Amino acid sequence: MGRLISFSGFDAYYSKTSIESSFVNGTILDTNILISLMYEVKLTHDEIVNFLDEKIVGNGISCYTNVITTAEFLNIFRRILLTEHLCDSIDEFSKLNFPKKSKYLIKRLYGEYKHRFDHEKKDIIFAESHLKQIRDTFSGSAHSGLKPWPELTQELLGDELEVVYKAYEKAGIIYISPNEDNQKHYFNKKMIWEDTIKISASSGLAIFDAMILNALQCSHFSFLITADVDIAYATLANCEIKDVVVPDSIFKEMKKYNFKI
Amino acid sequence: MSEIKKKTPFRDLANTLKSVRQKPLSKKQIEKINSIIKRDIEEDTEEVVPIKKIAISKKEEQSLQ
Repeated sequence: MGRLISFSGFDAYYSKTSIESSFVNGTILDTNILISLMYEVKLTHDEIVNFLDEKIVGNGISCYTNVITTAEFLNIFRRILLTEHLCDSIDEFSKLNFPKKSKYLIKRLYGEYKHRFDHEKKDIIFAESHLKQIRDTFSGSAHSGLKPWPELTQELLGDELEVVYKAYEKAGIIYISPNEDNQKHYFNKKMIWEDTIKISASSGLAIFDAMILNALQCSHFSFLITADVDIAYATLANCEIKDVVVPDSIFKEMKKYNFKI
Repeated sequence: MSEIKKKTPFRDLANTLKSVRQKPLSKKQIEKINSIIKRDIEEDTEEVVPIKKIAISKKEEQSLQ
């Protein structure tokens, strides 16, 4: 229990655990795994895509997500699409005729994010607070009663997010919930808040992440796949947590914490 | 014997995500967005009319009167 397994060590792990009588051929995907599919530039992108196709799909292992991972995946893609479409408007060849105050704000924010990207490799994805600031520059006139921002976001997001969700389903990712009667067989324990809080408290893990680990704990699945350092840390810090599979780079990074791996 | 194509659902998903991100707005979408903004925001998006052009049109108005 509570083991961290690297992608390169997965074959040995799987051949050993899959013969156990309690083994169920399924796994839970963490949000970071899904998010890493969006970034071609990230070092782990190809590593994760190849691992999922070759080792998970290749071994007939079913992939599951819960409400948190699905919501976070769609939410981050929404922010990416909004950021990129809004930033297109400040391109010198753009035909989008945004108000000057909107363009000014987008340009300023883009500059700040670009600086952070250049120096700290932080992704250029506008924070929620910045998207709200941009939204406010699109207010209709006081007497018009019109709302340009909702119509604008409908154009920028409407079809695209639907395409993304359909592609997500087509990849065979199954959304599971312990509240659905026909999915209760995936779980062997009731998911309760007290357990989530205990997992969070054991290493100071964010509640959303603790909910994902709690879903694993309450399911019949033996392992979870993540690219999140915090989840890897929480797994090593709490011997009750089930096994967690991570990219080799995360596995190496965890060695600095001197846990027994 | 034909080679069996390996299933790559996650590569396909990654490619779809990439294509959605790379897809530019269509001409129709840009026109719609511009018309929404022009309709609703009393502001500074309208083309700046050169002073000379205003003077000419004022002269035209006067001559019509």
